Amino acid sequence: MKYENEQALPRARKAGLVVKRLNDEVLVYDLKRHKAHALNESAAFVWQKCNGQRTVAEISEVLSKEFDVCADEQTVWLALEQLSKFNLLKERVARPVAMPRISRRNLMRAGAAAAFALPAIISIVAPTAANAISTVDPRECRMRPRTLCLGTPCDTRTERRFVCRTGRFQRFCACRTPEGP
Amino acid sequence: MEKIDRLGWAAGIAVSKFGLRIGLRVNEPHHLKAMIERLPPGWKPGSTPVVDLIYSLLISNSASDARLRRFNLLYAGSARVARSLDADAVLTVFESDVQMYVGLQARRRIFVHAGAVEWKGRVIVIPGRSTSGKTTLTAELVRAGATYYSDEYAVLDERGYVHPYPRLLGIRVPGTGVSTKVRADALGGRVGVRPLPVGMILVTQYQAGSRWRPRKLSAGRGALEVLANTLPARTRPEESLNSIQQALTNATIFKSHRGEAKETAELILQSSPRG
Repeated sequence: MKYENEQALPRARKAGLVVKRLNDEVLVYDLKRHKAHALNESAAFVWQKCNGQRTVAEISEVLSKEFDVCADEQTVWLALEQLSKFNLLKERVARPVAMPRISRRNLMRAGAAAAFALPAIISIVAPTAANAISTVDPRECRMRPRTLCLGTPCDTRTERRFVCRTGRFQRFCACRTPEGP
Repeated sequence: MEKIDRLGWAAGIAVSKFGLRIGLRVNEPHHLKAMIERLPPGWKPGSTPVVDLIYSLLISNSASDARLRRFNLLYAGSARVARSLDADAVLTVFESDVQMYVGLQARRRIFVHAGAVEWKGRVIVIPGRSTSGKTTLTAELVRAGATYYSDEYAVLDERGYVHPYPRLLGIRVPGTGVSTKVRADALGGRVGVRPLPVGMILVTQYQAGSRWRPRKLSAGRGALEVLANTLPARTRPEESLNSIQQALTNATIFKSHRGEAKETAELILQSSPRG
């Protein structure tokens, strides 16, 4: 992975993303990794300012102006590290060695969050269709009497379609492929 | 497919729903009714015999030779999706398969795994995984006076409006995982008929001994909760996000564990923001 030097010029990734604005936040869907991210207002702002030409110091300056707060480089780095972690930057950026890492909690204690929410990104893995339908838990399936297997789909968190049914040689319900013996 | 086509089919029907044309055929005419009963609610007879997907149900005639074990078979197109000695199990697989097919392929509709009821002109959507208590809470909301939309899918259009999907409520019998089918009017409720905007999203799960103490979520956080229960999230992400964005623009999102459904339903309806 390529790391930039101390004069980091972060560049937002655009390719392979679906981006939607929702009130102050931004929703991003990563078509390659099938992950969805919700960027809060300040994280979205930093992401939008990453054009490959602004330094971290310059981004912190526009952030301060926009939100009318004193947002230092630490706040921008907090956003950049999350953006980097969720693959929303074209190239990973690394905090300068000389700059100490300050946790979100310490930043809040230092009062950076007094006037605006610190950058935050929440992420989920998009569900497969099988994960988004009514299913039976495999343990629950095994507890069913033989006459009540009923072929209900099993909640196995995989793409394979398992159903709750008996096998040819078994007398109990279990999650199996629909067409097996 | 040709091999399946050559089998002796005694009855069939073409139906349409959400712009999809589905064919059903059976080798025993009286089983067609059982298949039709398991179709998504609101289906209409198809105007053309040309279909997007055909389900073929082959029910074994065990009386013909008692020494042979004959399986009941279900095909979706040319793919076998179920083989069982139990005809009911095959029909249950048909029900879930056809629902998933419609949920994934429906044109200009986004299916979210959620309960949905209408209250004061807006829809309350309860997204959640299986066994999270969606149906129980939906049933209690209907008993408390809300209009039933669905206990399984909140069907969103491109404006973010929720369309009714009023299948029978599948209320689980405690401890067995087996559900019984109940009509909404048997709970004293009405069934919704027109699409309405979303007023509230409830992210909740039953937890014994818990109390309903909702905290408000941001729209972005709520969108992820809805997306996590969206059927075509991976296959049609742009369309899914667009419908969710429209649906959540003016909605309030609450998250909380809940205890008993009855008292939670009353608290939810009392706190409904619009009058």
